[in-house]
Amino acid sequence: MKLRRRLGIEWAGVALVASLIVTALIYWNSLSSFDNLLYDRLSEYDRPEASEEILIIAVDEDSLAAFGKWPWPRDRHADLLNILAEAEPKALAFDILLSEPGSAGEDLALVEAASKSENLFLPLHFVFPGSNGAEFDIKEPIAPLKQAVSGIGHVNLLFDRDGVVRRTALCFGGITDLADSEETIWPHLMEQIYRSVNGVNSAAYDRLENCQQALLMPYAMRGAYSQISYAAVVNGEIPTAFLKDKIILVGATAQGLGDQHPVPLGDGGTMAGVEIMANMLGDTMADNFITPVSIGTQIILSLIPTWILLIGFWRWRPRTTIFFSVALIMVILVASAALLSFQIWFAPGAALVGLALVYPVWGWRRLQATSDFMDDELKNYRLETPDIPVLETSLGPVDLVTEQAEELAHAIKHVRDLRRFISDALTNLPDPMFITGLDGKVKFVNKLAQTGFEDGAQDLALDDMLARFVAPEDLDDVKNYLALDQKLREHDYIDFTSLNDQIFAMRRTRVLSDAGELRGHIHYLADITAVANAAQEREEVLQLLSHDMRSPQAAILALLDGQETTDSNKRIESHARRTLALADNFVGLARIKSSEFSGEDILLSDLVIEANDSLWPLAKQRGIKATVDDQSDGAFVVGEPSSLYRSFANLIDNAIKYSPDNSQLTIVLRNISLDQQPFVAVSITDEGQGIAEDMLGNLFDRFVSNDAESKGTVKGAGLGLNFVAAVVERHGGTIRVENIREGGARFTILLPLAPEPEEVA
Amino acid sequence: MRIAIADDDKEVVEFLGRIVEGQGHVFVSYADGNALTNALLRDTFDLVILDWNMPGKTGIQILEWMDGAVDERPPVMMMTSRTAKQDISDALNAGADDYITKPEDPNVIGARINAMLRRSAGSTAMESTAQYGEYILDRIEQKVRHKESEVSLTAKEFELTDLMFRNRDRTLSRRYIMETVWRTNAHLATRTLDMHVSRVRSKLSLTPENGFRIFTVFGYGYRLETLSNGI
Repeated sequence: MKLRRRLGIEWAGVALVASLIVTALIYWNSLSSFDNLLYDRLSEYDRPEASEEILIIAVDEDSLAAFGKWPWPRDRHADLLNILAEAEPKALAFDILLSEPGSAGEDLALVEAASKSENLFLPLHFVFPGSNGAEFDIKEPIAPLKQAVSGIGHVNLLFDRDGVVRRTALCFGGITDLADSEETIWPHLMEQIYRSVNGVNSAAYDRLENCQQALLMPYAMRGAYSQISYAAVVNGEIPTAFLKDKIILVGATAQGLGDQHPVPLGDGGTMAGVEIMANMLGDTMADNFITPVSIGTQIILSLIPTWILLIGFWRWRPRTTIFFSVALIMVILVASAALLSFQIWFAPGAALVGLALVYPVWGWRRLQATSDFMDDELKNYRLETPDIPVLETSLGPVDLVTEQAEELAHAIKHVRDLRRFISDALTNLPDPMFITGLDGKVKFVNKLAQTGFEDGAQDLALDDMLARFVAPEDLDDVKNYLALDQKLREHDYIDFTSLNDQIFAMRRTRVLSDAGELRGHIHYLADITAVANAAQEREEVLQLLSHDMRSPQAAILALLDGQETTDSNKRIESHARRTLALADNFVGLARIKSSEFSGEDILLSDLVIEANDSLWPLAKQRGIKATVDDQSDGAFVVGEPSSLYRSFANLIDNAIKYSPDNSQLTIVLRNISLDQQPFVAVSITDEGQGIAEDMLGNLFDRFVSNDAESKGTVKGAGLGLNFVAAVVERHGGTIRVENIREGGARFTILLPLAPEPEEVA
Repeated sequence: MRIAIADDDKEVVEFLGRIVEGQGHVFVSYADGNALTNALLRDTFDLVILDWNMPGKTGIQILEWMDGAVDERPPVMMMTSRTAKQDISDALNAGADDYITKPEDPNVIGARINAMLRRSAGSTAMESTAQYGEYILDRIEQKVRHKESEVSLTAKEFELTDLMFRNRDRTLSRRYIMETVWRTNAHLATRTLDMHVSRVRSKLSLTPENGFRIFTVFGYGYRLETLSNGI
């Protein structure tokens, strides 16, 4: 979780910084040299054709040779205009600045010639910065000339930062008069020509949003536009038919005249201003200017690949990421070239920088975060597991991350050792056990439980696992037991016979995590074959004893039934009954000691009444009146009916034995409360001689009977009271005996009351 | 009536023989389980008195065998020295109609045998009043008179009384009582029956002095026993 958050923050930081850098690069156009270089290379592949209509009349070296050094007298230009006026060109642009007045005569001649020409356009020039704090000064042709021509247009060139003329502004707008908020717009000289030829604005001009928007000019090959020498025209070497219907641009091309500018033709050379203008006019007519995307679009488009990569970092492996980075660079370049062929320029520099930036920076931050995390975790691990030795690098100094990785590997090895140890310990547990997960599948089996599963029991469903060793007749019981909620189980184990006739007790405990979450179950099997067999044998012996001891006595009594009731027969019968009682008590006692308590709800008053009823013949014989006084209001106890019944019968039998003839025997049931626990008390009071004082303490010990010679003629079974005491104790009760003042003994038994049953609706 | 007595103890056979002959029945005795099953295939008896531990087949095995092998199965009285509660309910659930643990008073045995023969002979028509010892049951008024005094009972208590008197000396399962008196086999709160039996016992003073006692067969049901001084 910690690492996740840290990496999230790092990621957001990298994303933010990269986005800001890309935006800043575009905003301040810092990558223009790279973008321009790329633009120059790309534009080489698609150069426009030069227009046949355009003709350049060049003030070239020949003209200078013919007419002398520049500037020439203005009547020279008047001569040219006069010749051209006769030739009737479509339009004529004079790329020669005529903004300062010359000699009056020359100027007059020029104005006269200019007025003869139709469609003559003159240049206008801005000087930055202007004088007297103005933004710029306007250099217009001298006033008479300006009135004589068809129009003027600006001829300022736009230079990129590297001094190359790639762009042009089709118009120039500016506020000339400070009082006037309205912007004055001067179209470019070439735009003016276009308008005079076609009568409408050029399409590119109409698309402009404002005059600040510069368009990229594709250049035709150097010298593609036809050029003739100024001197040749003036000397009449050129037939006027050749000039007719041409768009003529007059300008200086001679190297010495300075109107030479670098152009993006890939050869590092310069181009005369007039030829640049010819290219511009050609572009205007063919409408193949290239529009750069707006700065907003540029920013958005440049950020897209960076963000694709940023999002990809979450999903892709580093190898995929590097592949995608390279792919994205290719896509950007191809997209840039493709857009160019649609006359749109997208400068890819910032987008490429974004990609180039984000990959290593993220790699660095990610490594840093991971390294810090490992450091922390290793520190924690060492704190929790103090016995882990600190790794001594024997291989010499390495870099920090490698060291951490080695330490991590060391820690993992340690954990593996630990796991191995625990697993070995579990595997070698002395009893079979297996662990299931929450899906009910076996997750772990120790060696003993694996016996017989050569193919392994891993991932076996619990039911299948059981079916492999539980005998089919016990299978359902085991499954039912396991399906029960732990709290509802009567016993904390279930015993079953295995397929190879061993008897196991299976315990199931829950595996809980530190937070108390259930993780699975442990099933622990104990081989109780020997114990179970011993118990079985003991039970068989008890049954045999019970039956085989009782049967002959029953036979004796049956035999006596047919005889006369002589005194000796009566004594034989009495002895036989004593033997029977002894057998019953003995077996009962042995069962109690060997079996678990399993009680049921018993209405105690009825049980006592029935025990009393069963002894009625004996009591009647002696004229003893035994009454049960039930004040318990239907008290139920949880008990084992047979042994309880036998206990009360023993006590009442005893009481009758030691009572004088024709006496009263009182049995009372009462509800009492001891330490706020409800009990039912049963007291049996006789009117006999009571119990010898020295007997009171050990009356309930085995083989003791209140058989003091001085006292009675009757004999009791030595085991009777011992049995009673064992039964009462087993039921969570107590038994007490006392001699009462009036004479006679009173036995009192306290048994806990059964809990109220849940109401049955 | 013909009664088969199966017991490997000669004394017991003679003892039981005296009892049934005293009641005017005839008996045939078998000392071996297999001998009894062979006889049951060819012969007809009105009652079988069956010991548990016998050579050949045990009493339980014979009960199970009778389930499939004999068409009209005679009533079986299990009579054995086994006293464990589990043994008694096992035998009754295996199909024994009654169970007596040895030794038992000859009068009680006689009464129990009579009760079984009475039942197998078909129930007599229900009279509007019936007398059992000193108890007179008025089935129309649903009242019981005992020694000239009237005992007031609820409807269910009367039905329970009637049922037990009609089936005196016979062990009735709790389930049978509930289905007959409460007309439901739904799981009636187990204490309800205990309480009703207890109230009937105390209201009617069903004590040995009055010639009756109610005997609980733990884990199975109840039996109203008539004692020798009763009817």
